[in-house]
Amino acid sequence: MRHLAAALIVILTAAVIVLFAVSPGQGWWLPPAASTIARPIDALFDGILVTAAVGFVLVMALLTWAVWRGASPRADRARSVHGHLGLELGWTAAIGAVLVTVALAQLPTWAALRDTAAMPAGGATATVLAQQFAWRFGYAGDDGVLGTPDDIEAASELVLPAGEPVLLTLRSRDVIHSFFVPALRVKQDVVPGRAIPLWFTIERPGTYELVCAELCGLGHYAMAGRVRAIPRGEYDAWLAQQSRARLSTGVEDRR
Amino acid sequence: MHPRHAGLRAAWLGLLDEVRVGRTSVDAARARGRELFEGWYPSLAESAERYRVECLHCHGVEGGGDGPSAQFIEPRPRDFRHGVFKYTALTQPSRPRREDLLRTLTEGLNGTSMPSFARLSLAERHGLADLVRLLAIRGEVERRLAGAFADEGEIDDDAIAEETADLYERWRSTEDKVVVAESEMPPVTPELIARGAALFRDTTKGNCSSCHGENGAGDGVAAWKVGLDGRREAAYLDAWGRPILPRDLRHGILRGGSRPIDVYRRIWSGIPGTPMPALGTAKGPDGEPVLSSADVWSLVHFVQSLARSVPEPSGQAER
Repeated sequence: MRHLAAALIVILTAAVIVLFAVSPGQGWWLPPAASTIARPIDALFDGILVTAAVGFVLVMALLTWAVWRGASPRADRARSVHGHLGLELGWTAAIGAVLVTVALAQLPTWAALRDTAAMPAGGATATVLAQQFAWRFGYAGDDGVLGTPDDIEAASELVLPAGEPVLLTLRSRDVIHSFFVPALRVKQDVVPGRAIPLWFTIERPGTYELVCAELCGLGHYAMAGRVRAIPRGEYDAWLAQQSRARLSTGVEDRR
Repeated sequence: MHPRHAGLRAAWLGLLDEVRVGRTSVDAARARGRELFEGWYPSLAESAERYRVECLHCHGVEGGGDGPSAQFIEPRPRDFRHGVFKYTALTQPSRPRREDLLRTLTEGLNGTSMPSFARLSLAERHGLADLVRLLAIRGEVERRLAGAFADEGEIDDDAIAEETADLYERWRSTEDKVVVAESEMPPVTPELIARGAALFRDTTKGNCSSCHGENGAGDGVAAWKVGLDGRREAAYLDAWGRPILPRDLRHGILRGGSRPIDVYRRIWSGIPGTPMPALGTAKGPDGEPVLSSADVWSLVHFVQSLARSVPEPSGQAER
């Protein structure tokens, strides 16, 4: 019973590692990736997670050793020690090297999502307007230009073509929101007064959950929506139908 | 209407008729009604529970717009108990259709704290729309009865039945009041926008500028007054007793929807509960309509052009 505390640390550490190892197979992980940006994001995520796990195991091993040694009958009395310059410099440099590596490794991915100059020609464009507490989306109408009278507007459901690059321009009407689509691995703060471009390609048609990931007020929990990715043909048909609806005389409201 | 809805509606109205002519007792009708709606999703109880989760914190227990969050919200949440709803497809004055409430629930009200509830299923949204109708009818009956009680010192059962029947009829008979534009929307041209601007400022035509200002900034002289403390304040109160200011149209935040037909209907029918008049049915001193359908479309084009007059931040400039 003397080494109960040390044993508990080992058991809990092992339990955490097992839990992480089985999670993806149990569906307790992020939803299956559905966009081109997801692969480098997941690689970064996994790399940082493994690095952190190594650090976690090392720290837990050190803790176990210290607790085990302190509970032993022949344990030394506590001693007051001053810092060890070499040791301190060593671990500061090691942690610093890890952080700098992560910072450099993520730069190309960060830029790839935002560098609109690198986006291939063609593809689809939409605007995302965040407000307390809703998502509103805008599309160029028949003239293909945003900000003209024939623009199409939609709420809550962002319809996009699958299999081709899409460019979103994010704006906020009031406070900071965050555009988060877990399945696409896209998460970007939406800052009032700024227009933030993002581009990526949705690889698989499907409906993906959209949430606000920045506490934005009383109705933050309700600020949920969907991204519906459909093949190009269906997307064109949807746009055409929306354009027609904009020109309505309202006769369809009569029963 | 879904066939299942139509059948149910027919059965329900038949049941009401039987009660009216005394062929069925109220208790028996209640039991039959319960059978009719057996398995209906969502049930009224389920919708009431959903209302408590999603709506109550703003709209209040009885739909009085007095939930705990209401005091922090501007504009304030709607008080259903007046039976007045601003954004419908109908001529004024009228109670909203179920579809109007459903649209507000689905799309939210742009520029207010009313979010979109598109994440709920259509059936669940229908259920909430029905609950809003129930709260509105109940609230309005109670308001009328309170008024009658204040006048006469007593209320009899007949008065309750009468008021309920009268209000129910008002809510039911909205289908022939949908505003449909007489002519198709003409393409946007600079000439039509200029024509709309002229109508907007013409005091014998649109006269919109008296409240909305010459350039739609919401700074028209009629909408403002100087208060006792010398500050500028709203000249009008809305139906719920709160100061109301005309929309600054330059921001393009149109609560009733941004489709051209939405703007058309706002101009044609006005906005219930506010000083915004129904111009479509307005008559001039000569008895002629003030605006034609084509005039209203010109105004729509002008109003929508105002929203594009303010540049939005562009991504490129700020990166």
